[in-house]
Amino acid sequence: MRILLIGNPNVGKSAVFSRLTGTQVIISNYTGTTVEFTKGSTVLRTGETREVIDVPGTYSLEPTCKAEEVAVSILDSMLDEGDVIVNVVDATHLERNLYLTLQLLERDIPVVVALNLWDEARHKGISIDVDRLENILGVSVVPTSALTGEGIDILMDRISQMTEDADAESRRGQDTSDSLRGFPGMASHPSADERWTEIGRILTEVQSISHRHHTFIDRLEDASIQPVTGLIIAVLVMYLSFKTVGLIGEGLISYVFDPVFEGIVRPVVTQLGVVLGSEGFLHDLLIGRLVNGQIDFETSMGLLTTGLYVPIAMVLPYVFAFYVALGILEDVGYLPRLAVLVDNLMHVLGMHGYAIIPMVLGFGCNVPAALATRILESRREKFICATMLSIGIPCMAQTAMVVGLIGRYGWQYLAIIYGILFILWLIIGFVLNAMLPGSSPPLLMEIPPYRLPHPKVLGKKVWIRIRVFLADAIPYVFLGVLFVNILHVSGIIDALSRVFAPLLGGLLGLPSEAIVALLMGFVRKDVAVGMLSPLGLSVRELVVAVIVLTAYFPCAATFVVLLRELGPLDMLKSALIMLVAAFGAGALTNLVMSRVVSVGRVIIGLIVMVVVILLVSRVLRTIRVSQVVRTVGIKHSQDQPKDQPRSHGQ
Amino acid sequence: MGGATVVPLVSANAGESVCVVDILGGHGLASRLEALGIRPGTNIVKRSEMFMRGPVTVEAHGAQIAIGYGMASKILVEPINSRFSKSPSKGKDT
Repeated sequence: MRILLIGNPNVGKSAVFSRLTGTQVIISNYTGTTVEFTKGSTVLRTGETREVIDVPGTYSLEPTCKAEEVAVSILDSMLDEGDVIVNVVDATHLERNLYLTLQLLERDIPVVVALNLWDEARHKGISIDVDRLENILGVSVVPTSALTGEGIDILMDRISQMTEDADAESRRGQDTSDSLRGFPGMASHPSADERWTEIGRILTEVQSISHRHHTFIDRLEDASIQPVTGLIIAVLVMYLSFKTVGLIGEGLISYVFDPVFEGIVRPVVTQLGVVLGSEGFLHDLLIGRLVNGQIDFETSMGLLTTGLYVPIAMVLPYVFAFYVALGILEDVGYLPRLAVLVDNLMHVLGMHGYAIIPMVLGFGCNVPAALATRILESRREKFICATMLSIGIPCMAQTAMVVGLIGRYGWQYLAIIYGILFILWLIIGFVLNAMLPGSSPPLLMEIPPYRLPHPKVLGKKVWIRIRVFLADAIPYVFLGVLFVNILHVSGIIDALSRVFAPLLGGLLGLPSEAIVALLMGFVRKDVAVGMLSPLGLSVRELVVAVIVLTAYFPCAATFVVLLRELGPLDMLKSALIMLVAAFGAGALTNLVMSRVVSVGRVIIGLIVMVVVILLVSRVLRTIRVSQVVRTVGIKHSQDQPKDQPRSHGQ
Repeated sequence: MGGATVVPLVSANAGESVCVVDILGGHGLASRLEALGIRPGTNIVKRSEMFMRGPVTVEAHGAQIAIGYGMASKILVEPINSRFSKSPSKGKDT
């Protein structure tokens, strides 16, 4: 006895879901925000509680791609006797949305249609005769605007009515009443052509569109997918996003968090330190080691000093700033346009343009980014995307720490770090695309209209993400600090340092104590970067350490998600690539920065490497293809082999 | 008929209104496009194309859809009189 929300991608299912259940879920203006189903519950008019399920979007019940397969299989496996379906329909694109509606009605299941985005349709001069549509479809149709809440009450009434009817039905047995019966005017299993013809007929009866002049937003929409203006807009958007994040982040730190920590936290913990006797295990655990007789929030490594200061005063402000900027980009609907713009580049890296979305999300946190790889079609694409993400995209928590630690030496060092990570990201994608069999699937996606962000929705989204960050970060940071203290006290650190000294010293030019930070990096990257600070490293050592820390392995939370998404074998392969890439890049950076090798030589070396890999993969491919041709040639007549090589081309 | 004016979508001019004539390639491609409402007989407007064989963006039934270059070259279209281009629901009659 459940309520399932089903509809095309980006029609506002999640917005309806959050209105019905009061559950806070992330809502954005692009397809694929919801990649797995979300459960919640709602109380019907009758006082009964029902489970509500938000199913990922699909255009059709006959799945045409991976993402839709997920949605349809959820529907097929979940739908039970007595369940009610709320078909969320985009009133501004009624024609395309009705295809799924007809398919649902053919299935003879209780359906209520929520005609969502009703206000936007009105603005666009689209008017729909709701009564007429109800008559034709034979089910309730309720105009709604889930973002503002308009029509949700009536929708709730209808759902309650429907569940009562459905209950009565199942008690009475088979006999379905007319109100629940499938679409009356249709054959039981119509072809796609018949459905589209029927939709055309329905539309002429219920919809009329008044002509509308092009608005500024229309022009902006066009400009951002045209080659030249599109690039200019993309550069502008990136620049503004960086500026906004920097401004908000720095502002919060210097005007809010630092004053709070200096003015309130410092006196309290200093007092506590005195009470604890200024030394001993408990003191070191809670307050940490004093620097010149003073608590140093960044390096003392106590639970109440560094353990609080890192996540709250150093990382949180930037995480907040990033999510505000990301939220605006998402809700405006810019990200899919960016995907169109970078589609070419992404194909060279083995994916289509939409893969840019997990990458952008990754700059905030790699966990949701790893989840978002589900919007990609093939295993191959997912593997490449996940590996590139883990290697080349540092999360905002880590970035905040890097800025805090290295920013003081000058922006050029930040540029070196991010430049090297970007090059590494490109090389990994390029090489994986060349070496893995298969090719990148083509892009096909709907581009949402530009919309003005709804401040309330945006605020809620930022809050959900901040809450997730705090819930994850603080326990892990505490755990990390605790872990370091135990390692120190037990002397394990010295033993580990000795074991790893050749690797760290010889390959990366790092002091052996840096192993603590590398170990911590498996748990949390921000704390790991923070742990470099008491080691007194030179800038060169810091740059090398940060590059290795970013690339060598995902943090624990990301690892868990990737393991689930990729499976153990692919995860192992991916991890090996990460290790090789990270230590390779770290070693090269060290050589260049300590002036052992010139930049020019490294660049030439990299180019040679990439060319060799390309040649080898070409040869391997030709061998593979000729083998396929031979086996196919043996099995079938000569017609077949002609087609084979084509599937391997780009 | 009118074979002379039928061109792949990639060769149509940006801003031009066209009618889809045929979709080459396998059933998979046709059904994916169909789910988005692009099928033989649909009127669409080509909005833009990205440089260097990038995706083509079209407007179909009022929604914008980005189509990869390879796919777009398999969609055959015929330019139509621009007068009928802007009304999405007029594409089909019974």
